[in-house]
Amino acid sequence: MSGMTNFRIFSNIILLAVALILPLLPLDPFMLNAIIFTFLYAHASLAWNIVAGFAGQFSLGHMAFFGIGAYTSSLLFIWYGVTPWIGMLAGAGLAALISFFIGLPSLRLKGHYFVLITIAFGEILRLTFLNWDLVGGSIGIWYPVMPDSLYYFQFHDDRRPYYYIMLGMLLVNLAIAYAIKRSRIGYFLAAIRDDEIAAQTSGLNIAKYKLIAFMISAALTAPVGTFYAQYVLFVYPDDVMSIPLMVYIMLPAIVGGLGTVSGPLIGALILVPTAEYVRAYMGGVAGMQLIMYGVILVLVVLIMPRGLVGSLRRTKLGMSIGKYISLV
Amino acid sequence: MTLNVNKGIYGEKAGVSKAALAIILVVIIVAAGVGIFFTLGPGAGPEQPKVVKIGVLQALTGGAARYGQVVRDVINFIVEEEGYDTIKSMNAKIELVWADTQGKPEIARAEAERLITQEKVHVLFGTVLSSTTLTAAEVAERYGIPFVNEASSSPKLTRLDRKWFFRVGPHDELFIKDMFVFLKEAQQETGTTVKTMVIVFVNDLFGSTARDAIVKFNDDPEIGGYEVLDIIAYPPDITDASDIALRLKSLDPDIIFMASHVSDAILIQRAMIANNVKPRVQMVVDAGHTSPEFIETIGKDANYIISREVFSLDLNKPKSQEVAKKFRERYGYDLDGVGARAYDAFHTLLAALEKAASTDPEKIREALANIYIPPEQLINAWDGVQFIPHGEFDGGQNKLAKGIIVQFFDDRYYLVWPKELAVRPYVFPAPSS
Amino acid sequence: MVEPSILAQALINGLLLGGIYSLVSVGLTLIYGVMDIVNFAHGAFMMLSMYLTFWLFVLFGVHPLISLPIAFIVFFAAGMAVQRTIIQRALEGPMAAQMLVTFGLLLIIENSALFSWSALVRTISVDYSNLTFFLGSISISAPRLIAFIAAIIASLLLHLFLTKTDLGLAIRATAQNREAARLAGINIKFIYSIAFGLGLGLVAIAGNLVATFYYITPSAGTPFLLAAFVVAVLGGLGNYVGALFGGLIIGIVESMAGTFLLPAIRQLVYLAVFYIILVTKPEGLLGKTFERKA
Repeated sequence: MSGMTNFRIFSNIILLAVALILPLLPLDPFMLNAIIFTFLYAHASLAWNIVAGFAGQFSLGHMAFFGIGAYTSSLLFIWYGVTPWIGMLAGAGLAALISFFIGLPSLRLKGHYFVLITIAFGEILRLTFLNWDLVGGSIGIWYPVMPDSLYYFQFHDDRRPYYYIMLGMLLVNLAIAYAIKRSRIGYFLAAIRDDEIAAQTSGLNIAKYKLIAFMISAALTAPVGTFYAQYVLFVYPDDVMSIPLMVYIMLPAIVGGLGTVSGPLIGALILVPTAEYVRAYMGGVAGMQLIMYGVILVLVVLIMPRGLVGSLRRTKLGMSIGKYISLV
Repeated sequence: MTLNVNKGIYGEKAGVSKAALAIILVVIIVAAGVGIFFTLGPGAGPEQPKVVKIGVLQALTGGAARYGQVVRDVINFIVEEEGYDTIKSMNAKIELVWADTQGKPEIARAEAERLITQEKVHVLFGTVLSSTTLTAAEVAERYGIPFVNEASSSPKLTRLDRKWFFRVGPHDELFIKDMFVFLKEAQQETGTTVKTMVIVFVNDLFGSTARDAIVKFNDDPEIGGYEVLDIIAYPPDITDASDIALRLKSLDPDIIFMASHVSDAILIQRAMIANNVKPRVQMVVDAGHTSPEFIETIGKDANYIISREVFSLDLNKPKSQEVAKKFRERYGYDLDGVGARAYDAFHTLLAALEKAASTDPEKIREALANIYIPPEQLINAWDGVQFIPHGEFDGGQNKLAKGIIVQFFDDRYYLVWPKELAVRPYVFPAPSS
Repeated sequence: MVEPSILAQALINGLLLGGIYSLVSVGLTLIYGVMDIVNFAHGAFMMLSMYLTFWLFVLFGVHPLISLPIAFIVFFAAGMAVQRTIIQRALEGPMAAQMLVTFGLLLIIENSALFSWSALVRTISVDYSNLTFFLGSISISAPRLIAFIAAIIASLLLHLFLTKTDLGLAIRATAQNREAARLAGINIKFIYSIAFGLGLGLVAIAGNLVATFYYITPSAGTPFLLAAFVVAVLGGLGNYVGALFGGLIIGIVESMAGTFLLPAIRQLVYLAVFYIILVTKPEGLLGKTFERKA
């Protein structure tokens, strides 16, 4: 892949400008909410993609890091009055630390075994929190409503600050993911993903790089949990660290393109608004949204296993689009 | 070493077929369509006059969908079968707008906001789960839209100082206090003493809220003071309840106090039967144990279970009898406590709208705040509906809501307490044969 | 101070539960052993079988024990069809694709069941549903005992089939070495669909058996799925004899943990066992009978 052309820089600036101006339009709160959740899942999915897509280590336990982010900031605020911003960083740090100890033994496992052990880890954490009365147990955390301010990370009268915060988080995440992909680490991860044995025989310390990817991925997932807690103001194990949440985390990346930087965002842009639409206007049809997600999952894997970005990139159309928009 | 970064996780094999391109196209078109839909907004046309829009939030999918479905049937029953489809004082048709919370707090929040800002509902009604009521009611509070709740049981909900929130059903503390009062009375009347207790609860928000209330009243020496031998929490999705039954068998308490949903209540009761656990007093916090499914499955083996309830087929009120009968005819199952609470709550809302004679939220709020509905107009065994003024402790709670005690005999629960309403004498403790 | 009668009772309860776990995991592990695919939709198929049993009972009065062979045949056929149409295509892709496909199937099946049959809790009450025998002070629930015996018989029949018939030998040969089996003239795709059909047939039997004492909802299969993973890994993924014993072990561990520790953490206990086995001995306590060479 060549470097960015002027066209691409230009188109990215346009996209960014649109994103910045969007909330200034008279959007109704439902749409604003839909876009915020689009960014939220795009962020979580992109973070997951670093370990699942870049490094090929299919973790199904990332909901646990989401939950760690939500719980860390909420508890720090409720117990010590620490601003959720510091809580967010603490959550990311804690997630990185836990992922180190979890990753060390688990990442040695291959294929299905790694998938199963990460599911087990996520479920163990969920059940622990559910039975741990000190952190709210099965009552959950009823987050106090505070006056609107950046310090408290709560905005009720005008919810647009939530949008800009989420957008900012997503941009940071995109920049980090892009930097990783272009760095030496990114190449090493791709080597591990494509052929672990070959990577190992060529002298690469694969355990180290897998662990780095896992830790970065976990640290980037946790802040989304903090944002969720500040936005919804109710934290409960079955909501912030459950297997269904994992579906929402991984689907955007799979649809958009595993191992790509823009894929999760594009996937989320398609999936989340569609899901909101289905829920809101095909209202009350039991199970419709998850049936739809299931069908999309099966179809994408069978027909377009590289996801949208991955597939598009290889077509003529994609190449010409690629001149204008970065399909990384 | 050779590094092929562009290879992608799926290796070289998968090329892009025509089918894939077709799918991409379809997806893009759908996405564009959705985008256009969002920009235009649905129902962007001029608003119809003479319509009262009621937004109903319920979990229609997910684990709590069973409760949502009952509430939906009840509301449809009121509007379609009973024909309450207009508010006469303003000659306005009732329009119901349904929203699915999926039992998730963040979706309840988003849907409440959508109903208010897009559907322009004048009032909100829902939800059974306390967690979804919590987040949805916060939105209603912000936008200044009245929120009428039928059956969330967490006492905390009316202690958040929310001016737009009204709860028609009793919360756990009102409910469970009655059960302790009953226990005391029953002991005095029958001359028996019960001393020890085990609390068994499903480890979720509903169960642990009930547990907290039970522990709270038991700590009160006036009405409680039983020796708690064990507090057993169990996960909602258990595959087997033999262990719970066995613990109960070896602890052998006088009173088993339980809070369960439908499937787990069935599983535990069956395990108790299989392990020959015969409690002297089994007190249950309605929900699962009073559901039609539980009654149908366990049958006679549920004999002597004592439950709190709001509604009973025995209530000596013509209205209760008639509604219960018609409901059964239409839906094929008996109205239970959740359904009955939804019934009275929805009628309370309709009465308030009638009184407000306006779709102005402030007027509706005022009507709700000042409403009084006499007991004979309700199907539940309440003294009426009247809300505690906002600003006071428990503001927005229906202070006339209260529980009754029912006991299972052979085919269903019969009303046994308070005395003046009872149709059968209670059996306390259960005979030991 | 554990009373011996309670201890014995907890053992029996665990054993009876374990029989069901075994049957669910035998199917899961068979599919994995032959096709190298983790079937996340396994619990969902179990749930479908419960509903099949339920509707046959309610609509046509078919006794669950009579619908048992029906469930097996229906799900065997359905398994072959699903394998041919969906799974086979995913097998050509990488591991992630196979896993995601079965995960997608899980979402589709569970939520379609919710869509069709609602979330109402259903149960089947047959004459022996609440019947209990006593052995001294130990009580044994009749439907659970029947389920246990049937589960053991089904597992033994599977063993006989795999060891004594030509088709069974072909399945085992395929599991051991795909390439060699192909060279020996075995139709691999056919073997795959038989294996998938058998796996679903077995889990359908499990669903049919638990329907008489368990509850039936669209998500009723999920808790069994999680347990089945633990069992399958404990016995060695792909090792069906291991799964049989693993099921009994996990059933007893769970029952003991619930009875003598806390019911709330019984799942935590077996997940912890699972975690430790995966970290220390991922090939399972009994290792693989199907040693893969290719």
